[in-house]
Amino acid sequence: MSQVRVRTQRPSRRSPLVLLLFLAVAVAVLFACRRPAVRFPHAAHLGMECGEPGQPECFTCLSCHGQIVKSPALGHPTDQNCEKCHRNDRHIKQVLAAAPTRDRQRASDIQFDHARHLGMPEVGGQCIHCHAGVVSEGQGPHFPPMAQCFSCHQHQAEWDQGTCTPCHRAADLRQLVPETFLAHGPGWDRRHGPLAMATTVQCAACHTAESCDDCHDVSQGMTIERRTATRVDTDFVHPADFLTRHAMEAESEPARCLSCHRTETCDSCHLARGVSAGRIGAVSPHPPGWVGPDSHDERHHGRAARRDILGCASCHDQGPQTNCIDCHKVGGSGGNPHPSGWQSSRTPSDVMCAYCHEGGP
Amino acid sequence: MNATRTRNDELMKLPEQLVATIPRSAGVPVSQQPAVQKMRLLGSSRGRSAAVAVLAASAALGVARRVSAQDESSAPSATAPAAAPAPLDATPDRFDLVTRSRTTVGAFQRALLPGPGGAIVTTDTLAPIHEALSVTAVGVDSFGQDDLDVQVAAYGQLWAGTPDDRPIATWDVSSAFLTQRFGDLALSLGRQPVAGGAARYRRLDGAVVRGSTPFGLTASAYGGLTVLPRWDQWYGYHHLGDAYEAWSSAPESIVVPARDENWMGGASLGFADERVGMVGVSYHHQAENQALNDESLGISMRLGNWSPIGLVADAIYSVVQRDWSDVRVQADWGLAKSARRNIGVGLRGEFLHTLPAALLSQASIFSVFSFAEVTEAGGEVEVDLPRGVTVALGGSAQVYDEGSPGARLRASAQLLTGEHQQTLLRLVASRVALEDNGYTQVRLAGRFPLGPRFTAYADVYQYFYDEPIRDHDSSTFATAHLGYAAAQTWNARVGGSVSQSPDAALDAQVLAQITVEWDREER
Repeated sequence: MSQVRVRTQRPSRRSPLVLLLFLAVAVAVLFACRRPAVRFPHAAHLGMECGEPGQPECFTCLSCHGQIVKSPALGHPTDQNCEKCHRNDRHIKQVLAAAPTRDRQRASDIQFDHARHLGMPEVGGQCIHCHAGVVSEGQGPHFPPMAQCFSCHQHQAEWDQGTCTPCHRAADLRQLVPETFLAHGPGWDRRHGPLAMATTVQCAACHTAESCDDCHDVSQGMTIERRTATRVDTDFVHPADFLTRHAMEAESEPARCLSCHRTETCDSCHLARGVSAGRIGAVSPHPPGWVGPDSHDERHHGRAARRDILGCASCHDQGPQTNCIDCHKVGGSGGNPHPSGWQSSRTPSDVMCAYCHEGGP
Repeated sequence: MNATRTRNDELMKLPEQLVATIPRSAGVPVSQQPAVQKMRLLGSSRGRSAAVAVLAASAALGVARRVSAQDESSAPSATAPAAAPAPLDATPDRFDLVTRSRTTVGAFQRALLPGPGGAIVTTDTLAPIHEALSVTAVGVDSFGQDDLDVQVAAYGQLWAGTPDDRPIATWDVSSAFLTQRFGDLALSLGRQPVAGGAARYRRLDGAVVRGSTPFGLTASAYGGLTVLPRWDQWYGYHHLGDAYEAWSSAPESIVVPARDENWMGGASLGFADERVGMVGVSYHHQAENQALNDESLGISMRLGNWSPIGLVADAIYSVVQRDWSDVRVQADWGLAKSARRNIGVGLRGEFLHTLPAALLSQASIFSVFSFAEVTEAGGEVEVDLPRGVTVALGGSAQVYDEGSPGARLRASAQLLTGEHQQTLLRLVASRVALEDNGYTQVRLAGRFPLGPRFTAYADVYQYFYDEPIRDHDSSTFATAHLGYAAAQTWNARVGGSVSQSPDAALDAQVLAQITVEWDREER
C-alpha cells in the first residue's frame, strides 16, 4: 500500500480535467446535431390534391391506419399501403422501419378503444382532434396528453382511490413519468413531502416504499447518486464530490439534511477522520478568538453557533460530555446559552436539562 | 400544482349520449372489476397463504412468470362492457408481482490528500459490491378479492479489499410489510416508512392504520419501534461500533441504543379532493434512548383544480420548542404546450422558514442553544421551447438573524432530441453564496443513444470555490457510462468516474451494474 506524497505547492486553478468539459461539449454537440431519422410526411399526403380525374384517391387517416380500430398495435401501416402509389421499395422500407416515436410507444401502453371513440358524434371519425401534431409538426404532440382524456372523462373516484386501471396497465405505471396530471415538474423534490401525507394512496399507484427508501434510507452503503449514475436528467442531492461542499450545503439548507440524516451521521464520520471534538487528540480547526470573553468579536463562536447550530452539533454532540457544557452550564463562565424568549415544554426531570441544570432546571 | 389542469367538471357539460359511451368499467373501482390485465403467478395460486408462500419462494429464487400474451388476450377487453365479477372461489388469484434485483459492483482507488494536521494518509483500493432486492405483490386475494399487498426490500453490501480491522459485509431490510385492506380501512404491519406532515420521513417497525371515506376524509395512525441505521456496519462509519470507543475522548457518552427505548407514534387527519384541494393535520411523537427526540404538529394543504395557481403549504410546529420549526409555501402556475401554443411556461415561487435547532433531535443539547432562523424566498421560471429545448432560471435569497444574507442561483438549458427524444443535453450553472464561503457550479450532462440497445451517458461537474478549501479552489468530477438494454426485463451498464478535489488528489472509480426486473409484459 503506497503512501501519498504531501502536496506543498498550490495547485493550478484550471484542473486538467476541465479539458473534459470542452471535450464533452464537442462530443455532445456532434451527437445532438445528428441527422434525424426519416419520418413520414403526413401533412404532404393529407394536403395533396385528390379525388379528381387523374388524381389519386383522397386519403383519410384510416386509409393507412384503418386497422387501429381493431388494436392499437395494428395501427402502423404496412408496405402494402404505400405500394398502392409508390414503387421505391428501399425508401418505403426506410420510412416504415423508422423507430416508433416515444409518443407512439407510450400510447401503446394505454388501453384505448379507437373504434368506439371514432364513432362518437363529437369526434366524427376525425383523428385530428387528438393527434393534431401529426399534421402540424411542432404545433402539438402526436399523441394527446392525459389532460385531453380528462376533458371528457370524469375520474374523481379513481383519483381518490389511486386507481389508474384499466386505462393504464398496473405494471406499466412504474415505467411512466406523468407529464400533465400529477406532473413531477420543477421543484417537485421540494414539495413532494407535504403531498405525501394526504395523497399516500395516489402515490402508491406508481410507487412502492422502495421508491422512498431509495433516496431517504441513508443506511444503504452506496449512495443513490452512484446507484443511479445514468440518471443524467436528474438533480440529485449529493452530486459529484459532495464531501467537499457538504458543510456549505448544510449551512445553506439545514432542513434538507435533517430530513434524512441525524447528527450522528456527521459525527461518526468526523470522528473517524479526526475532526470531531470527541476524538482523542483532536486539533481545534477554529481560529484565534473563537473562544474568549469578547463575544462581539467577528470570530467568536457564539455568532457562528447561532447561525449554524447544525455545524456545532456535527462535531460536539457528545451528550453530557459535550465540551460546550463546561462553560455554559449553570454557574459556568460562558453564560446562559438560551436565546432571549426561549421557552420549552420540557419537564424538570428531563435528562438533557440535567446536563447543565444539576438538580433540575 | 400542475402545469396543465384536468377539467373533470366538463363532463357535466357533455351530452348524455357521450356520457353513455364511457366504458362502464371506467367508473368502477378496480377492486370491483373483473380481474383483467393483472399478472398471474405460475400455478394460479389462490388464497392468502398460498399467495404469500409463492411470493416468498419467488423472492428467494427470483423467478416469477407473467401472464402470457395469450392469457391477456383471452381476458375481457378493458373497454368491453364489464361482466359481473365472478365469485372469489371460482377465479384464480391474480395479482401484480414485481421482483427486482440490482447488483452494483464498483472498484476504486483514491489518493486522499493529507489528513488533519498534515497526517499522511494511505491510498484506498476497494471493491464494494452492493445488492438491492425487492419483491412487491399488489392485489393478492386474502380475506377478500385483491385486498392484500406485500412489499419487501433489502440490501446487502460486501466491501472487498478492506483492511482486516473493518467490517467487510453488511445487510439490512429497508422495508418489509403487509397491507391488508378491509373496505376503506387498511392496516400495514411490519417495517415501513411514514412520510409527510409532522413525521417528515421516518421508518418504523410497527403498524400503520389508514382509513378513508367517500367524501375524501382520510385518517391514519401509526406506532412502533424506530428503525435504527446500521452505521456500525458501514465501511468508514464507526458509530455504535468498537472502533468508536478506541478513538473517542468521551467513550462514556456513547449510548448503545436499546430498541424499546426508541419508538414513535403519531396520527393524521386529512381531507383530499382533486377539485377542492387537500388539507391535513398531523402529530408525531418520538422517543430516543429514554429522552424526547421529537414532538411536533403538522399542517399541510394544497389547492385543488379550481385554482389556476397551484399552491402547496406545509408547516411543522415544535411542541417542545413552542415555535414553528419548518414552514414552506410553494406556488406555481403554468401553461403547457398545446396544439395552438408551441411554447410552455411554468412559474414557481417558494417561501421557506426554518428553525434548525427545532429540527435537531430534542435529546441534543444543541437543540436549546440556538433560536436562529433561516428565512428564504425565491422562484423559478421555466420555458418549454419548440424542438425540445427547455430553459430555466431560478434563485432564492436567504436572510439570517445575524450576518450577511445567503443566496442560491440556478440557470439551466436542456435539449431533448432524436429518436424517442432520448438524446439529452443539459447545461446547468448554479451559484451558492454564504457568509463563510460559496461556490459556482457548471454541469454538463448528456445521454446519447447508440442504436436500439446501447446508450452512452456522460456527466461532468466543475466547481469553483469562493475561498480555497485546503488550499484548493476548484473541483472536477467527470463520469461516463455505457448502458445496454437487452430486453424489457434487464439492463446493464458499465462506466467510471474520475475526480480531483480538495480531499483527493485523484479519485478513480469503475462501476458495473445489472438490473433485472420481472414486472412488465412483453409487448
